[in-house]
Amino acid sequence: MRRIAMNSKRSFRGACGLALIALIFAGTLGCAGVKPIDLHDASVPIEGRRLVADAQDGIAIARAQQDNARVSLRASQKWRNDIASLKGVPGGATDVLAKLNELAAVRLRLSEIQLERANAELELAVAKYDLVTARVAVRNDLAVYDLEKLNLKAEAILNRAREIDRQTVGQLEHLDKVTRAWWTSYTGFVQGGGDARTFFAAFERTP
Amino acid sequence: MHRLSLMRGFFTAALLALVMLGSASCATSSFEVRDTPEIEMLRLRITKVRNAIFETRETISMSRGAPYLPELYLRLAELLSEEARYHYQLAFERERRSTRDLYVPEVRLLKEESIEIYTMVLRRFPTNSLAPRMLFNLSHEHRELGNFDPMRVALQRLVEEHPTSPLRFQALLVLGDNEFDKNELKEAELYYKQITRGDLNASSGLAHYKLGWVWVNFGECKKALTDFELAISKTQAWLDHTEEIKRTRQGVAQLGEQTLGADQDMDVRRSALVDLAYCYSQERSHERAVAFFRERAYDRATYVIALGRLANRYRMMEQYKGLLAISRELLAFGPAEEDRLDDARTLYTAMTQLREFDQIGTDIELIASAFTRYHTQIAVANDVRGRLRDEFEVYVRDVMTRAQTRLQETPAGDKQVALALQLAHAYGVYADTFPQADQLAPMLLNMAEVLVIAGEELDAGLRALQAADLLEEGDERKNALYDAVVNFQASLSKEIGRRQYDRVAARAALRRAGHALVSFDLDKDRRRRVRFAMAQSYYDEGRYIEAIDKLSAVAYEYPASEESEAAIRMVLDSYNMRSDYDGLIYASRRFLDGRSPANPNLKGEIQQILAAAEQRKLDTLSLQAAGEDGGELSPLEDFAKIHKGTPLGERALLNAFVAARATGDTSRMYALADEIAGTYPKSEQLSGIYSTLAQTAVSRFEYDRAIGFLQRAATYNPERRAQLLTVAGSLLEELGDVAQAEKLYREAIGAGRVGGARANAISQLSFLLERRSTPAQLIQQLTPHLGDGNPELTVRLGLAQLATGQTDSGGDLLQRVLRDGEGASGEAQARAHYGLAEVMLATLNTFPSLEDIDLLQDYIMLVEVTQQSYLNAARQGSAHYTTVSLSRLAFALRQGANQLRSVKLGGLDGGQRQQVENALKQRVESLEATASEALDACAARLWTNLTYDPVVRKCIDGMAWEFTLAQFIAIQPRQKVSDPAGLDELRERLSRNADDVDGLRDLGLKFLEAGDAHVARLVFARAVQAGGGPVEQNLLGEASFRVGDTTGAFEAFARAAEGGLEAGRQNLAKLLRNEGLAKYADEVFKRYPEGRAGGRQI
Repeated sequence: MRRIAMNSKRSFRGACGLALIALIFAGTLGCAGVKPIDLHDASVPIEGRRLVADAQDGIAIARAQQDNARVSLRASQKWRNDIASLKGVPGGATDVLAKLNELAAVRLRLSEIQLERANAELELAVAKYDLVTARVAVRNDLAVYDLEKLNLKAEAILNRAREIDRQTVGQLEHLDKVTRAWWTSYTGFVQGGGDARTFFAAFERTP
Repeated sequence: MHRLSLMRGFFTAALLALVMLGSASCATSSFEVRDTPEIEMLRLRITKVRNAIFETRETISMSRGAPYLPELYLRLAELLSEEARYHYQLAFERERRSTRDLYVPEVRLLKEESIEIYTMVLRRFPTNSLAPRMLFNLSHEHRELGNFDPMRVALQRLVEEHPTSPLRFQALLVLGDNEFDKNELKEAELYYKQITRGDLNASSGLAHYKLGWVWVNFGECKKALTDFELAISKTQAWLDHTEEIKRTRQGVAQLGEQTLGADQDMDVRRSALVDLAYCYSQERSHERAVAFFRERAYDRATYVIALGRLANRYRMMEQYKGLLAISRELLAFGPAEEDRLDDARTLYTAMTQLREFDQIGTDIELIASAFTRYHTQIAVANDVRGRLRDEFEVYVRDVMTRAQTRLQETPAGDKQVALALQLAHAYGVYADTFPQADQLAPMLLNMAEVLVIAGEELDAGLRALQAADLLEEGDERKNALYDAVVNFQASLSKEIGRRQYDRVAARAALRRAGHALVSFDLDKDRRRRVRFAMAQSYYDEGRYIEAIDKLSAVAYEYPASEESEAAIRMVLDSYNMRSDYDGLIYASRRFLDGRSPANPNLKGEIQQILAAAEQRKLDTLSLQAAGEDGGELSPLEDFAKIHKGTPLGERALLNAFVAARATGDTSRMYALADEIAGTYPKSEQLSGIYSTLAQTAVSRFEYDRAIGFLQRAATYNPERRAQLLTVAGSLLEELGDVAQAEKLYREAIGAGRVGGARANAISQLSFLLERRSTPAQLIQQLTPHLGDGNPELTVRLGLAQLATGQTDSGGDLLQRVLRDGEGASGEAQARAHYGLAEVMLATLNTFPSLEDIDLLQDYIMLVEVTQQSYLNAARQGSAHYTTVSLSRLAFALRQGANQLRSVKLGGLDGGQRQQVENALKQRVESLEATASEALDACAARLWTNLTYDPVVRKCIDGMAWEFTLAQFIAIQPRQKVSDPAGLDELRERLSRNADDVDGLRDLGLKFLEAGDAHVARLVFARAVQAGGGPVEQNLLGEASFRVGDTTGAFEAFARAAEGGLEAGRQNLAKLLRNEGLAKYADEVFKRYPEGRAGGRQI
């Protein structure tokens, strides 16, 4: 009786593990159709299981980064809206306000690009997971997959991510220019006797 | 009895009358006056005592002559006295206790009757044991009747006639009191002293107490204090004694008698302690007053009352120092009553008079507590409450204001801080006690000031903020808010010793104050500080995005200020904390440009920060480039462009190079190397880069490139120049460019120091010259380097000298090699052994003609030694020199045989001659046979060791090698051709797997077909090394054949044939036919069975 209980516990644990994997990756395992490998399946060599586990970690990390990027984007959007509807701007500060609006817009755009990058990173992590799982499966005669196709898919996503990186570099350059212009405008305004209270308060990020 | 019956009848009648009157009144319904319960009780008692008197008289009448008769009389007298007392009390009650001066005839009558009885018993029974008691009671009755003289007589009689009676002390006490009341203090003293000098008794304490008062009246406070103290201690001692008796039950009866008549209502300990206050104030120092009274008070109430008395005394004396301590005690221990208010006032007065504020916190707490405890009592009227509140608010505020002045006068230090903490506590008590006070706001501001001194900035800020909330809009409120901000900021600047809660509170409060301040017009300095404080709070909280913007605003708005500098630092640190290195880099650059608010010193720091950030960024890019998804080098290259000409730019290119190598992007590697060399010609990494490229080129079989890279690497690295050039030379040798190889070896020798790389270069040159030069050339080229002691050079030079007839010097060199032993390689040792055999042969060749037997014998022995030498050399295991040794052995033996054949000995007779001739003939045959065997063994190496060279070739022909030095087959010079098409793909494939035999084979074929057999040969050799089979061996053979390396070709074809490849078998046969060894060619087909199809044929 005891032995049976132990076995069922293991298979239960295995089932839970699979269920957990399915839950984590629900919706992310796409049309590649690669069947997940149970990390506790002793018939698969430990090295192979480690590779799969690492790939799973990659997805979790990418998802966390995507969440961070979303939060950052929402904050940028909110701030952009707050700046656009800023009240109490003193007279003679039209140019300053315009520069501030531009700064907010550029920061927002950067946040958007960073979210795109995070999305691409997540897609890439999923593609890598599929590829790694497929490789391990093929090596251990668990299944047959078109590895070349999976590889190409991952490469395509990687190339897209690299392109976004290039866009990010460009956007950072642009942001730097706009930031310089903003601070130049701000400095000119305050040193000319302008009242910067409204602008100082505008840097508050209300949740 | 008769009188009793009459009495009874009288009472009955009276009672009846009373009842009838009552009935009549009931009938008439008139109003009845009833007595109070106390009077009813007294009347009942009178009735009872009268009954007791009656019964006692009855008993007395029946007890004539009884031994207990005196006791009965005593009892009767006491009952009469008791009745008298009740009558008096009854009269007192009826007068509603309004006076004690009453006329009650029954009292006198009864007491006089009691006196009569006592007198009678004392007369009739003078020696009875109850006499002392009777005398005492008698004196008591006289006293109550005002008969003081008889009283004294009775008491004197008691004292004199009954010296051991416990009542004696009571008697003395009464006598003393009597004298005291008459102001006869001396006499009173004498009486009291008789008590105090006696044993401890119930009256000891009281006697001391009364004696104390005697001294007080004499004005002798010192003595009075002593007796008051004794009164306390003796009373306590008596109480302890009685407790002991009760516990042990011994002497209980005497105990009862001792207490008889004593004034039990008086608490001597309390009275003494309270009454000594006056004398204490006169005689003793105030400093120990509290301790003194505390030690002697047996309960709190006594303590408080005594201290209260002393306080009154000190008030009269204006002894403020004493009052200070006493007031504190009274306020701490006294019950909540009006007296405490006086104590509070006293404390206030003492503090202000003495300017004593060291304990102001606790003192104010005491004062406020006394007020609060009284103020909150229900019984206190509202108007009184209001008045008290106003009064005490003024007290507290006044004393705190004075203390604040004192604080400001105190120099900074521990003392000031201690006072500040006390004062802050006092303010806190004030705020809690008088929350509605008009002056609360200024007091809170004072409190804030004090808290700052105490180092409690957070609380200071909170109080300032609290004060601001109470103030109307205006300058005062503005200043309060500003003070709050400054204090919160100071609080946050403390890194350690702060709870998380404090930090959160400080930040939130700071911002609240800051926002409130925004509506005010602040001067520039204040505005700067406030904005900086607010911005800093975001930084402190970890809200870095907001902190960056706000701090930047401060920096730009107030350049060249302290806050600006701090703000800039925090901005950069904020980026760092977020690990936003791009942001940090851009921000640093902005702060370094011309319009930056940073001063030059700060810019210097920012420069370093920027450099570190860029380095970090570079590391990140490098990791990405070389990581799992590596291959994208353009970010690194872009980075290098931006930082062109700087160490960072150089580093970026180097990292790109490393990344390209990691991903196997050879073309990028070559391009990057050129770029590095072009942009950073002095880079210390160039040597390493070119070495790496050479390695890569070799692995890709781009030998021309590899040789070029090695030479360039040698240019940049003097220390490794010899090594690099030697490697390049060995590659050139493999490619057939012997002249160039020799040149590089010489350069390497010139560049290297003795030992190490130079030795390697010398060895390589020696190998090359051995294969390619004549002995004379070899001697000429190698002799200059003999001093290096290189065994490879030494042995080859020695052999060359032998070959040119310099037997002695050659022999010495060979001996040297063998002597050095461990330093020499196996090949060098084999050559050395061979050389020595050649020396033996040379000796044989110069042997004198064999004219006599002795010479003949010597010659034969020398031949044998020579033979052994060659055999020893053959056994050394050298591929070439084993063959040479065998062949030369044959040569030497044949030479010896010829020499022996031509021997003509004289001086021998026929028989001897015949014997010698026969022996010689046998010897010659033996030598010939051995020579043949040696030749056969040499020839056999063709198949056993797959060795084919000119020496073996001769052996196959049955001829011994005639020369000292072996001969090697040289490969032909290379004809350079352009690279065939399709190489890149194969190279790419091989870069992923260097042991890809199929790839290597395909690559070699491309070179072979393109006409570059030299390179093809090296590729096929690699393929064989990587595990290639007969096909690869066969191809190796073909390439070797094409370059003229017959030795290599033979071996390769033979192995291919061994491996079962028909093409190898055919090629081997063809090769041998080409060499003119048709017979051996045929043997191939016998040795190797027909193989499988496939493979190329030459």
